[in-house]
Amino acid sequence: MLRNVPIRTKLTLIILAISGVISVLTCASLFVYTFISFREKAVSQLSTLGEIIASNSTAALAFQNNDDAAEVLSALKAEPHILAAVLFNDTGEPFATYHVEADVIELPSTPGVDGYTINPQSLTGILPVMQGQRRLGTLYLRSDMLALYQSYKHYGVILIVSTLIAFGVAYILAHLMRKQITRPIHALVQTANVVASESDHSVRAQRFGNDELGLLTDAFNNMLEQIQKLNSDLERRVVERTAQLEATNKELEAFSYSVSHDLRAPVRHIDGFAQLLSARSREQMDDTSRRYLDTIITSTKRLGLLIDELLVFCRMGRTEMHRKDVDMRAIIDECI
Amino acid sequence: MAVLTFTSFLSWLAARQRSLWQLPAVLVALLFCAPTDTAAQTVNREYQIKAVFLYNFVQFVEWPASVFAEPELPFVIGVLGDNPFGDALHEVVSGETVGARSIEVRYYERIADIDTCHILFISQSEVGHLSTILTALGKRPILTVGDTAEFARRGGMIRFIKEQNRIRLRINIQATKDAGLVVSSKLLRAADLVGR
Repeated sequence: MLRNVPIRTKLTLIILAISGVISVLTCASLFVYTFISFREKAVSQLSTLGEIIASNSTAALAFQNNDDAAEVLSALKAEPHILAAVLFNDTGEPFATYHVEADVIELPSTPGVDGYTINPQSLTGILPVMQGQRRLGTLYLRSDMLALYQSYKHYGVILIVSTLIAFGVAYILAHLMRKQITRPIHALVQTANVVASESDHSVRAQRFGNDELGLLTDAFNNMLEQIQKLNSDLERRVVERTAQLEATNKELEAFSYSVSHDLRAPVRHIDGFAQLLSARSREQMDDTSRRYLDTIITSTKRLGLLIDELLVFCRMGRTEMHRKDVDMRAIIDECI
Repeated sequence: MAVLTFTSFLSWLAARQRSLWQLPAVLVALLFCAPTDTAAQTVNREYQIKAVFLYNFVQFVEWPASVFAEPELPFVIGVLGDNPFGDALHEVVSGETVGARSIEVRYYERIADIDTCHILFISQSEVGHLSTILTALGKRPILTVGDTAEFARRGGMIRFIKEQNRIRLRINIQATKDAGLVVSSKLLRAADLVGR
């Protein structure tokens, strides 16, 4: 699927994919950590508040002053997330209560077991009220989870925004840095295109750095240079060979011309003297000798014709060739 | 026993700070079903609470370090005059300690009998010569407690006041300061204050 997209797109996608995976993993681990630590923080805040209230209500419990206990509990108004509080005396009976009007959950009538419980609606803490080593009673505190959820929400928004910013920065960086790779490749591709389409081996790719792409560019340019050198070598040798060939041809021509020219004289002599012999002593010859003589005369004529045609042929090698219709039948008849 | 249950129900109701309007009705019901020994029982109940309170003072008052010079001596809660507590005070302190010290209850007939003492309850029988007693104690670091009228105003340190079936505290801060005692601010907040 990605095979055919341009390299710069691939690079951008790779960088974005890596940074995306890293951001998502980081976010996930941060969120898990925050989830746990915020819960712990919520419990520890409730516990701190509970300790303060418990410590302040010891005298009220010891001396059975529930006005004072109620006053101590009413200080919880300052913490709007506390929905309800109940102070139990040492026999487990409710001694003083506090709860916000909006709270609908019923208050407990027994102290319950010490400790903290978290559920999606509320965080409940049950802690002992101690004076020195002596347990005077129990404090029950219930807080809503809005503070916790608020923290989660804030944290989530921060995480998402920072992830988006990281993505944006990664995209810009990818955009800037991919040029380091794509520029030399583009230069190579363009040069290769010029070489392929125009057969121009004199062009060279621009070199951008000393990395592998720089080396590739060097190698490519080197190859172009060698090709160019080979080409010019070849051309020079073709010219040389052609000249040699032409010279040889001329020599050959001159030689064959002079040979045929020089051959003509003795042949003409043989022909001339054979004819003279025929004119002078034909009558004295028997039939066999006449036939021999005629054969000599005919062959000599033929030889002369052959030499003439050889000369014509020699001259013909220097004239241009013409394309022309010929009568094949006549040629074949003549040969046969 | 029925009455005891009723009284505890009553105090619980009061403790809940709710339904004060129900109190008269409950009191009327209490009057009607009260057997002859009601008075004795309610006194008992009242002094049981006071006994617990006496013990609780141990936690909320600091005595000067000089009082505890000898480590093996017990912490003493004394009762001067008639003993209104019965066995209640004994039951409350038995087995309890202050640091490493055990707590002991001592009963005194006369002021001269008082030797080592940290908390002294001055019984109603001594109301006649309260001033003499307080003068005799002087500035000794003894927390004086009583439930007679004007006890705190006359120089006693803590007075139990019975108020609508509850027992409230009135503390004379000046007297405690003079004796070198430090009363916890938590206790002060839960009490009425005089002598300032």
